[in-house]
Amino acid sequence: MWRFIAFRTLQSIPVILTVITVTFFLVRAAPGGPFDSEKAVSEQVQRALEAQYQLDLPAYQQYFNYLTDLLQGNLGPSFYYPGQSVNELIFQGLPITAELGLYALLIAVLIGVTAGVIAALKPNTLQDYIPMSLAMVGICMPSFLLGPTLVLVFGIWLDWLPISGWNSPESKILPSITLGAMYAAYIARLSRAGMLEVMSQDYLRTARAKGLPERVVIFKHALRGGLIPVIAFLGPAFAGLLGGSFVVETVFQVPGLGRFYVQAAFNRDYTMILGTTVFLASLIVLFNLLSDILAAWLNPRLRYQFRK
Amino acid sequence: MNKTPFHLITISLVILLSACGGGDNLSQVDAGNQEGVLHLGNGTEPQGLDPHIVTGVPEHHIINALFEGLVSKDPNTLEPIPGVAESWEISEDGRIYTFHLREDAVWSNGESVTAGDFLWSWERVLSPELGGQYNYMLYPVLNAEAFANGEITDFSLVGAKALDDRTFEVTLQNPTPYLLQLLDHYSTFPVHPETVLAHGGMSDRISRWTRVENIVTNGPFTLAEWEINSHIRVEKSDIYWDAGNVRLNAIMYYPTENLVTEERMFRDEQIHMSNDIPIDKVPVYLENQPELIDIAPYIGSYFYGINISREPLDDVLVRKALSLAIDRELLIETVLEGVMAPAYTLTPPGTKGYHPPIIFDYDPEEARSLLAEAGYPDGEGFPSFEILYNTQENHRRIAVAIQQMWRQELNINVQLTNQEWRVYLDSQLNMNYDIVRRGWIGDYVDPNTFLDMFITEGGNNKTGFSNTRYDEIIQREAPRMLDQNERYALYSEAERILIEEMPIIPIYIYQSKHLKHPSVKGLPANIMDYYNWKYVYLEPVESFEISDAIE
Repeated sequence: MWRFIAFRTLQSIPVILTVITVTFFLVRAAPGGPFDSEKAVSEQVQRALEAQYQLDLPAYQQYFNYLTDLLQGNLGPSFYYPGQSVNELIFQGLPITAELGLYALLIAVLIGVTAGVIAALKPNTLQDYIPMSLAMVGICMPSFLLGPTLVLVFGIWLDWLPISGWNSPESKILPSITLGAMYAAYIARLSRAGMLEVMSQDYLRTARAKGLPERVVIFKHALRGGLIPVIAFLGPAFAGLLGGSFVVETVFQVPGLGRFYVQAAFNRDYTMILGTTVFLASLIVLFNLLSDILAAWLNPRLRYQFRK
Repeated sequence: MNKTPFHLITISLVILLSACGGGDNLSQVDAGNQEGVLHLGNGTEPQGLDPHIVTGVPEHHIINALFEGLVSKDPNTLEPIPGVAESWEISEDGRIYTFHLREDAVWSNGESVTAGDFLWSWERVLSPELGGQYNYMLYPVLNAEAFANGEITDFSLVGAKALDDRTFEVTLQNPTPYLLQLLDHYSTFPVHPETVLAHGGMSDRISRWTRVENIVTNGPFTLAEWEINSHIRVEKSDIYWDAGNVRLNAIMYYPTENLVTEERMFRDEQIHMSNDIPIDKVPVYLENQPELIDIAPYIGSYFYGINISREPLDDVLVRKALSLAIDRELLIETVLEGVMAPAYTLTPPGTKGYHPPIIFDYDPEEARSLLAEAGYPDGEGFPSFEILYNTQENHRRIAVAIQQMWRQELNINVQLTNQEWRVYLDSQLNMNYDIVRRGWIGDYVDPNTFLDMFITEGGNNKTGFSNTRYDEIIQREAPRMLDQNERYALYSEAERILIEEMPIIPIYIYQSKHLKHPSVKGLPANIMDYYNWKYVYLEPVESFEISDAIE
């Protein structure tokens, strides 16, 4: 197990380094700079701005300066928000986005696994078709449509829930459902497929043959194997939730990380683009690692490969 | 037992929904009315609060509450009224302004605001190292431009002097009759020198001095909370010299980039006033509850810039033909829900009494004959060209309408290209376009803020337009003219040249549009969309309902 973890950790270093390098040079290659505006900027002002942010140095030197700072955990000053550092901005948005992502994931797992298992119990009947068509709708429905629809129904017509903000517990419900819906749909399909595959396995027939009650067969034997694809999906899904919550954060005015991430690209906020990208890339790598470890723990066959 | 999961879902949904209670509690707007707190939709998230660095309108709305310049503006007339300066004298030749600072003007830490603070602040905003994008607001001051460009390094040569703690003297390059308008712009506001220096150098952009825990201000309000992408809260200052007349206790500013969300926040009574309205919602409000909507002319111009170095647009006949073939009234009615005003000049009419000459009108007949005269009868052989705009639905709809008008009236084909904002700015700067959508919002109420764009090689010209007489008026004659009428006559002449040559096609004059709760008072509509928070107050209304038709 430890060898497995060590191996996977080492693997992630070149991945992150590639992400940094590609992003660093790509943002600088994009047309338009961070200080362009509709109103002309005098040459003197332009030079002063570049000097303040070290953009007057040769690119390779900027790159090495950046790497040096990064090793000390310093992501640099934001180009767009003068006086704010990228570290501060990320750590201001992260807890909120993480909280939103966590709720969304909980909703997704709760609804997704339940629906998937129900569907798998009686494949190709109404009990299968109804949850699975709902899942299809969930996958197809973009959050910029689902969000406003929920707002219209629960926020304005029924007047049950606040329509924007992130301060009271009630205000967190609609964004979490909106963000979780798509993932719930994926999880439903994954768990249905996983369960169907497991249900036809010999060891389940054995379990039934032993005379175990159906409840034990499903919850103790089938679920454990059937949910492996779901577990493998959870790690990357959580990282994806963190980076992909932009639309939901905009629709509901949630002050999270996703908005920074996308706005940074529009603003050509070089350090902010790099900072958020590197940060999210590291998270994705980390969560992939965690879900691999979890999968290895659930599925002994994966572990044996590394024991030899 | 197969049904258990279904029950589980139903039960958990019921619990989830019932847990969140009814909507019978006090709305944010009602609570705000009781506490004297104005809740405001404020557009994009402000970049910062350093008056010498920021450039945007949302920042302006906040900085105006926190800081105060030498003069302020009457929100009804936009005429200058006393700010930190209680009075001022202007010399006979209009070149020397002497400001007398009031005794009781204080910083939020209790220290008094001195002429020396202004002097230091002006040196800061003009210092070449700061890179203040609005430093040109002070260019009318003697030698200010030379100092900002690094041509002179001795600030004492610049025309600003602190004669004593209470007297500030400004010497101008030319008499600039709109100088007092400029002095209400945040780039000319004072900052507290010791506070700035405690957190970095005079001209460091990367500084923490504007943070809630550090900032020192001199306006009617002080900064209380600043949470990025969430809100900014300012609270009434008790030691502000005119605190007795400040009626709000606090203002909450919310970033509301998404217009649709902002409109919903207004409907849900979370904000008193919106920054904008989605254009398709305007007719709905106008029809059902027109009293909630505030539409007023705004000092902004929407136009198409023409790259006059490219064929066939280098021919003035072609440019005129294109302009005359646009039915602006129809365009505004169909595409813009009638919200904007048609433009036939660059400067919005009525800019402080200035009325630009209108020398053409929609005339497809004339347009066709101009095009024929240019050698393209019935559009024959007219080369294809492009309209460039930044990616946004309204710009696209306008471009499509104009494309159709040109095809219909002139029988010529034009392609539409959209680019993401920064790419589009880059193309514009490098004149990598045929025709480009542009907009210009005036920095101050004077025709000069529009017309000085098109001087030869001007940074904002970006069309290749150059006219000696035009330059002569804008750079030499008008700035020296003391008499307002004669000055406007000169601007009129310049504007006529511009429209005759037509390096730009004026399309519409902006209108500011807000949704405003009936309890908000003291926020009159004006051409600058300028708010003077001192005069704003809340008067709770008995009952307020948004009509069902709107929802």
